[in-house]
Amino acid sequence: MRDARMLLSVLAIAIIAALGSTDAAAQSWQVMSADYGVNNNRVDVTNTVRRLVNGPNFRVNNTTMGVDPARGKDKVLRIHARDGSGQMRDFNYNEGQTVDSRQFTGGGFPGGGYPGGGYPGGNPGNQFRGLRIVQASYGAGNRRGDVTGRLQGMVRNNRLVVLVNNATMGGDPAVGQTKNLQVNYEYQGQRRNTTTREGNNLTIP
Amino acid sequence: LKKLGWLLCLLALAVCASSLPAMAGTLYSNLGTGSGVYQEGVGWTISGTGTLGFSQSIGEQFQVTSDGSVGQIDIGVGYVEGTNAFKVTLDADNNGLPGAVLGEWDNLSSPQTFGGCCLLMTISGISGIDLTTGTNYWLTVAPEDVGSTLWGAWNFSNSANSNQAVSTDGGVTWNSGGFTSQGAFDVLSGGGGTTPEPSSLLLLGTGLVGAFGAIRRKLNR
Repeated sequence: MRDARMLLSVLAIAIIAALGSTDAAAQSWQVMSADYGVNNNRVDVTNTVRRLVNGPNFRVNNTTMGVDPARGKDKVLRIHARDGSGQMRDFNYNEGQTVDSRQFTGGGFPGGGYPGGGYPGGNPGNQFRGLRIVQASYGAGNRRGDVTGRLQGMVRNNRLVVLVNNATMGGDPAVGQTKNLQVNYEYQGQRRNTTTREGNNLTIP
Repeated sequence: LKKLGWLLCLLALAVCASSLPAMAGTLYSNLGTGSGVYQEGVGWTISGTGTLGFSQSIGEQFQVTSDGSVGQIDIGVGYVEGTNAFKVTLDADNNGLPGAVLGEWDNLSSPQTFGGCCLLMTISGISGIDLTTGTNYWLTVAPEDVGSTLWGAWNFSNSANSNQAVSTDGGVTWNSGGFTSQGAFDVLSGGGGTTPEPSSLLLLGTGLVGAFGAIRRKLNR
């Protein structure tokens, strides 16, 4: 009888501990992608958000997002995230709202490398040999949107083939101007930067 | 008169033959023709840190198809924005990376807006640089100033691949960029200019021989 009580106690503690750990994991959401804007005028800000959630809480606005995809309109930041159990969830923040950075992590790249870290021309810090989009932006002049996550999501079998235009880049960050896509990528341990004019195909490698 | 005819005929052949080495030749080229000189609108970024936040210079390895002295270099580099000032070097190979500088040309401007085709950034009047077959050389394109606002792009050639070198400090130090798409360029000998095709030379020579042959026959009658 005494042994049975002890066994039940241990079991109860184990169940509580397991529940607790599940709850803790659910608090940490990994940023899979993020975009900012309104209706069809949205730009990919995955890399920006991944960098921001590694710091203190931040307010959603054109300055922190690095772009104004719909001038004069109220915009929304959408974060598509995944928790430790694989559950997916979308978080929406209106312009002006504050994002609680503690509930997010900025990872999500194969090989464990953080896309916002390091110098774009530097040498890779991990052993991942496939194609990794380190940093990518699309636009003209200082009106450029981050499209890192978007491009990474387009990689199939370590290959990226994309026609560069507003539709594939998720919006028009510089209306009326000819835009270019700048991509810093890592493939087979080599980092390179390419430039692609709007309307042209980019194929990597 | 008969002897004079033969003499003129031989003279024509001699002129044709002796003119061959004197004409400009292609030491290396990955450029196409017509509207397909290179892949416009896609290429390797050439930049200072001012606009993009990082600097990138690119070196492309090549071997010449015949021995010769460099007279002209044409590069398919396009201008995106910022300060339109490039630096180009022709280097010897040093263990698979750009080594000793054989020639350097500064403050070059690209006449071609990136995305269009097919103007080339041309360096002419080059002398004193002899290249040998079977030896690796490097052509590098860098921003004139690492901190400049230059954003340019070296258009991919239509199909050539080569060993590449990448620099983030304006070409002071180089890292291997692996074997990949080669930027578009050519290296011409003997002061540049249009390279005559062998078939055109053959036609010219045959025509001259024929003409003098006809003259000789007339004189014989």
